[in-house]
Amino acid sequence: MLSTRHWTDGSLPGESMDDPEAPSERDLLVRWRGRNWTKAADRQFDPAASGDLASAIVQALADAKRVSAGEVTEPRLYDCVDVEAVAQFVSDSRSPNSPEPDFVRFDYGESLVEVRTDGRISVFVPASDAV
Amino acid sequence: MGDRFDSDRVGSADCSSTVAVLTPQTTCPDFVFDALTEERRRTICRVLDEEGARDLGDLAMDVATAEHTADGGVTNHEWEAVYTSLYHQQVPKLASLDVVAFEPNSATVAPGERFAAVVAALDAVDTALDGRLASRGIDG
Repeated sequence: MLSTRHWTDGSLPGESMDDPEAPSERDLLVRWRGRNWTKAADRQFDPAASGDLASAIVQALADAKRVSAGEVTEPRLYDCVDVEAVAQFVSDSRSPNSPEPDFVRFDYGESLVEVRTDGRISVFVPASDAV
Repeated sequence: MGDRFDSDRVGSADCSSTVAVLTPQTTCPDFVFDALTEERRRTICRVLDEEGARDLGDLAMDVATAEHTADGGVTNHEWEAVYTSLYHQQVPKLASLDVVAFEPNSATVAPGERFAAVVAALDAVDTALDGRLASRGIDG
């Protein structure tokens, strides 16, 4: 399974690469639905190596909470998002010519989950809770 | 969607054979196809058909074993991933279709009200494909 971070993947053509921290900063903080969110965990989903998307998302949620996947029991992912639709989105939307990967975001409890078309799964928590 | 497709074609004599081919599908309810879309759910239905009600952990081991017939053993990591998939996705999906019933306190998965219809469809598909493969073998 790939675990290398690709902070520079989101860089736009012609954007200055002098400051390697800049893409990282932008990636770790997002604004969504009028709130600021901080990244708590991420992992790379590779369908060939790590099987199904549902268990990969739950593993990322477990990483964010510093628990094992078996301890992430409520809510069920099925009640939060149509994982099959997200898996289809990821497998259909791979766009090597696009400067930035597309993504879907959904709520899981108090967390925000982002799944990108390049397979990156990120879990965000409200910024105020992450101090 | 099948109904709309049929009505679009009404009056077009050219497509009468297409409609005739599609008509039998409209008698098979959508939940059957919905339930059986993913191979893991087909395996769950097969296991429950043979074993009856099953502890979720045991069911995850059955499914993991079925998926690893080629390379033998199931690692704890593989079992956990299957368990997570069953708990968070596949069992709730089948339960929402009333194909299985899940009892959270005992973590038991049991056949639900519509279970028999889904297994009958699985068997019918297997039989149809076996027949087609057999006849192809004779022709060839």
